Amino acid sequence: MTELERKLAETLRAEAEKVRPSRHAWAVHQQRVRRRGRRRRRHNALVIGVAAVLLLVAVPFVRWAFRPDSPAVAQAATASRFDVPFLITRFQHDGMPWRLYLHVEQAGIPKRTILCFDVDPDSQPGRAIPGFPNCTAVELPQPGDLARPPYRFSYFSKRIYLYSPAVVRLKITTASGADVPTTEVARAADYAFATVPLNDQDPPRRYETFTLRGQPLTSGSLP
Amino acid sequence: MGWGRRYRDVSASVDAGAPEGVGVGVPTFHAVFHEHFTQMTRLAHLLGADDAENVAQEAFVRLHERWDDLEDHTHVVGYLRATVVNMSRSRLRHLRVVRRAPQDRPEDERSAEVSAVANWERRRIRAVLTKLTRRQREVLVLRYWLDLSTAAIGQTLGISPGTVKATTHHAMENLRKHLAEEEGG
Repeated sequence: MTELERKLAETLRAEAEKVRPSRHAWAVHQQRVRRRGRRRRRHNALVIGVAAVLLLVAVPFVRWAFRPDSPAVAQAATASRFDVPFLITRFQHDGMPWRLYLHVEQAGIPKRTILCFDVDPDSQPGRAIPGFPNCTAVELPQPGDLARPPYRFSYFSKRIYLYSPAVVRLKITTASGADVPTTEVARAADYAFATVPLNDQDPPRRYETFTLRGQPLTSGSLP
Repeated sequence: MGWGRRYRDVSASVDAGAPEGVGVGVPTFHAVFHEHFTQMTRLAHLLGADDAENVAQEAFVRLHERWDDLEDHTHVVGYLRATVVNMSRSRLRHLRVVRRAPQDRPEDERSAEVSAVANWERRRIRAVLTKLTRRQREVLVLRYWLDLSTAAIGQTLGISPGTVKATTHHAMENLRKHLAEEEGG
C-alpha cells in the first residue's frame, strides 16, 4: 500500500467514525416497516379496486366488439380471403377438368390493383400454361362509389363482372330483356365478383344493382 | 398483531447468535440489522449522501420486505451494500438538482472538537474526494474503507472487475493530481 493509499484509508476511517447512528435506529426501523405495510396495503387495495372496475368495463366491451356479426370480425373474415385465389369456374379441356381462378394483387406506388386470371388442370395444380396468368390493372370501386359500371372479363364460357362490395345483388338482363343468372364467386373488403354464362346469341346488355334491403343502387348499359 | 407473513413483527425474532456470514445457520433480520446498520450508514455518508441514516434505514426496510422471499441469506450484506450505493446515487442526483452545484457546496460546519482533531492532510484528502467522479469515489470507498475485493466491488456496483481496476487506477491518479495542484496553488 502506498503512502497515499494509507492516508486515504485513514481519512475514510476517520470520516466514517464521525457518523454515529441513532441509538433508536431499530425502533425507527420498526416504525418504518409498519408504516410501509399500511401504505402498501392501501396501495394494493386501490390497485385491486381500479383493476376490478376496468375488468367490469372491459369484459362487456370485448364481448360487444367481437360478437360474430360485428364489422371488425366481418372485415377480418373477408380480408383473410384477400390472399387466397378465388375459384371462378371449372371447365373441360382436352378431356380433362380444369379450373379458372383469380388472384387479386396490390402493387406499385401509387398502389394499383391487378387482377390475374390463371388456369390449371385439376390433376396438375400450378402447371404453367402459355398465356397465363393473364393480368389486368383495374381501378377498384372506391368505398361509397356505387355508380361504377361493372368491369367485364370473359373466359371459358363465363363472363366475369367486378363491382363494388356495396352491391349486394347484381341483376343482369339481355337485349331481349331476359334475366341472366348471376353467381357471386368472390367478395372482399373492396371488391366483389360475379359470373354469368356466356351466350353470344343473346348477350348481357343492362345491369341493375341493389342494396341489402333490395333498394336499387345503380343501373346502366354493360360494357 | 395482524402483520401477515410479510410484515411480521421482526422484534419477535431477536436472536443473539448466527450473525451474517459465519456459516452457523440463517441469520435473523434483527442480527443483520444490529451488525451492519452502522456500517451501512457510514458507507452512505462516505458516498456523499447528506442523510446517511435515512438511506441506511431505507435499505434495511427494502431488505426486510424481501427477507421472506430470499432463498440464500448469506448474501444479504452484498444486497444491502448495493442498495445503499444505489440510494446514495439517487440522493446525490437529487442534491445536484436542488443545489445545482454540489461540488462547490460548503462543507458542513463541524463542531469545535471534531475540527480540532481533524488534521490538515485528512481535510485535504476529504475535499479532493468530492472532486472525483461518482464512480471513482464509490470504488475508493469500497476498496479503502470496506477493504472489499475487486470482485466484490464489481458485484456491488454492477461493473466488471477490469472496470473496477481501471477506475481505481484513474481515481488514485486524479487524487494525486488534485492534491499536487492544491499544494502548488
